[in-house]
Amino acid sequence: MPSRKALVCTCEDVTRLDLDDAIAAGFRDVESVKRYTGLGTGPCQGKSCLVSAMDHLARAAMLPESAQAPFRTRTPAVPTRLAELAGITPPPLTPIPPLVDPSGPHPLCSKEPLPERMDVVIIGGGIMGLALAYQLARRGHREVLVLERGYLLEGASGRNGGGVRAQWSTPTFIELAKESLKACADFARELGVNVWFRRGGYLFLARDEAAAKQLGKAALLHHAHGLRTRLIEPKEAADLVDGLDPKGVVAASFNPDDGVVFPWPFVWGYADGARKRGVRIEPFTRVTGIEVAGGRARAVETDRGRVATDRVVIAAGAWSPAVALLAGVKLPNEPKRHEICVAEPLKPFLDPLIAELDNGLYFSQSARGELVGGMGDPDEPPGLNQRSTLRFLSRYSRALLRVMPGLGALKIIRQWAGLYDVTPDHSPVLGETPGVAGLLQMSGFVGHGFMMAPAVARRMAAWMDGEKDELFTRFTLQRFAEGKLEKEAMIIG
Amino acid sequence: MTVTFTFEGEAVEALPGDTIAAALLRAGVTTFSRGPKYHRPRGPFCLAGTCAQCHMRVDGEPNVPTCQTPAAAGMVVERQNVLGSGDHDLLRAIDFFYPEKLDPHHLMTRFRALSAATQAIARRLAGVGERPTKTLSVTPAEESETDAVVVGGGRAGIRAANALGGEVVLLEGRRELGGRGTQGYAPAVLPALNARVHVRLATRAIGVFEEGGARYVVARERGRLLRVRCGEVVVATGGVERNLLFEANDLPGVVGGRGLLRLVREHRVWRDKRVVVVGSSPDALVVARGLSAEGLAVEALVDLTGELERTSDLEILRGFAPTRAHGRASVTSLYVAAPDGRQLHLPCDLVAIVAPLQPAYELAAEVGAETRFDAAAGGFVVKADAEGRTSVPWLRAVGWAAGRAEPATGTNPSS
Repeated sequence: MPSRKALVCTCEDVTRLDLDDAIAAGFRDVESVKRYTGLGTGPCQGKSCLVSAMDHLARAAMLPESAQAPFRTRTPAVPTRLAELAGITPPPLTPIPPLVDPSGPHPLCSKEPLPERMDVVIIGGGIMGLALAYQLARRGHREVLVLERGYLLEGASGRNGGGVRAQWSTPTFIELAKESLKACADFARELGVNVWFRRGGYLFLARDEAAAKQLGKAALLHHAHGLRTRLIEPKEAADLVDGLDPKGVVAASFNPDDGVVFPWPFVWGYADGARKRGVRIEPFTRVTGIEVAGGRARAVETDRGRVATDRVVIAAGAWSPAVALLAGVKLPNEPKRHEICVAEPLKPFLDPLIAELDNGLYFSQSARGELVGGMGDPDEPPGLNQRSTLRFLSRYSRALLRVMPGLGALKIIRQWAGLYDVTPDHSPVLGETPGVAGLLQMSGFVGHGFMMAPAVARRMAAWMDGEKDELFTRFTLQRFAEGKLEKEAMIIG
Repeated sequence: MTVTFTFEGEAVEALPGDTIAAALLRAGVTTFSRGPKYHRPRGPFCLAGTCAQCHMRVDGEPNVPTCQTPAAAGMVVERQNVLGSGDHDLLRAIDFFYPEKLDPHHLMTRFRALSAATQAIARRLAGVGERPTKTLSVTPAEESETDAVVVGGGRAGIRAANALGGEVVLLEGRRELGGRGTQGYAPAVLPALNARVHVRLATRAIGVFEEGGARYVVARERGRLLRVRCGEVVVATGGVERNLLFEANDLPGVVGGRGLLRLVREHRVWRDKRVVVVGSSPDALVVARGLSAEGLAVEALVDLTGELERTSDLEILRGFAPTRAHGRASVTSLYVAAPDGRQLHLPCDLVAIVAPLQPAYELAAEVGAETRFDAAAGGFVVKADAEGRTSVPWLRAVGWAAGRAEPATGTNPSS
């Protein structure tokens, strides 16, 4: 029998029925449908499929005309080799105008009124907020509302590289990550959606003595926590990864149990699991105020009305300082752009995620075969800026080719940026807010919140139900005033 | 002089000026690639370097657009993503096993062992092509500065370049100027170029960037990049060929009509084929007549909206739309239907799709220029006034990218 598929996107084999599936899963904006189906994420970057998809969404999902926008354009417009990009002199980094927030309600903002009162209102529909909502629902909470200003993967949860590792420098992070790694392995069974968790290991490279020392120190701590981290010679690193050039590498550490996931399904899985248990998730809804009276949080105001509540959770990632200000609370967090890109999807050739402690380069091969990677920029100024740069493409390509010189002909197909939510000591902000009872903090994960979320959310839900947990007394906002910082050193990106 | 390259171990002759794709089509190759998920056979569609259907491995580099790459002596060309052979890919079984669809998100999630096995298999199946074996060292970019860059050497781009003061760099992705005027239509008379306009052919812009206090247009040109720093940018990128939605619309032989006409004219292939043309714009008529003039048998012109004027030289099926392409390795017929339920079965070797070109708004949108949906243009266009001014002060958009039809459709060039 001939198979009768009608193809919308031939780069990723997306059919008309796949679009209908996405609609049935509750999506109709093109950014969500793109992520759910894979539409437009191939080498042609949506040049050939966008209009067919839009036509279909307009008809089958009644997508209003005001919401018919193309998905965000990503450079490079043509797949471009690393060897060519590395040949560009990186332009200097100077502050550029940040993205302007669109004013007024989102075209897909629901007309339906919000409930008058909820037990818990979570601000931020990223992995943190959704995982917390799911965990609260599992514990029997029914009156939980999650507010998200955009689509569900609009923030850092939809923009990260999907690395999950236990190789940290503080016991707290190591234990959280161990639990998260386990949650990754169980996720498909528990929440019914594949997250493509693959334990290919994490290979850290150090090119100077300070970084080498850091790896050595961390490895000792890892052993104390039962991790299989091994310090290895540069030569052994080259044996682990075909094509790795050990020249200039002074030390390396490898943990075979770390891995990578496909980040997006986590968000779908938690959202779905939470909804099934009665949680209300409201995307395209902006929070405009947090009502505080008598030292307590009383309500959240949105562009769809006011919701009274006793507990407000700020889980808005890099937007958390702006949200906290609505309650008159100043967080020490600063948003910082981190850029990332993917190369054309190829058959498996790279097992571990490779990270360089010195310059913040990291890359791994995703379940779809794309080389996904990013790199920090020491000169990056703070700010809510998600623009992509030529500077990054050039610096990343140069750094990547230094590690893997044979990949010069590999082509980058898409770049984007996300925001790290950076705290002064690189540790999160959790727990109660001094002076505002009921305003709970869940931010400051410095680009690594995705991998921490499963564990942090489970513990936070238990703590909200009255269980004691040092996580929510040690990592409070108070510590910055008291100078009790908790320095985490193994930050990459 | 003809050259010979190797296609999966067999020698293939290429005529002067041939792309790899043209030479392979002349040699009778129909399957160029396999879909990433279902391994359905694919042939070239856009023939303009935007879709991925003609991608092959060339000299150890994966995913090379063969429709844009000149054939050269000694090249080694291979198909990718197959188990068995390119013509008989065993993994096509996935397509038959999942005739409706394969939902990767919810596949085998219930049991840990099955789930783990599925994910391991999926990893082997993912990806198109193997890692490059071609080694390339860092290729320094050509970095220069000019007053303005115009992206796109069609009629609109040439006009804009001539009208600009100062030095202008004009980037054109194809090997000749003319844009749609030469994209398969009757050779257009192009405005003469001003002496201050420096043309770079076969150079495709990959992005416009504003950073570090400067503006750059970056483009790929034969294995290296140009980084042109400039004060002003004009986007005259025209549009991109796209397909219509019907069953088996990805079968080899379903081809973008404008690219097909250009291919037939430039490379003299497929001239013995029977073709059904699908489309409702004057472009569809130009393509149908052009193909007919090149010797192809135009079986019918399927006029989707029924708005085409009657003509004596073509059979126009008014108000019909394609419902299914039929064939095994490539198209052997097309089923079309009308809203009143009438159905027709049209035997053919090629289906030429002439949908409205999706305006190429991308470069402008990346630096923040606003877009809008333009029903007449059949897609998103850059919002621009009559002078091409966009919401970005230093960037203008002209021609089809801004939804403005240049009088380019061939028959009566007016400038």
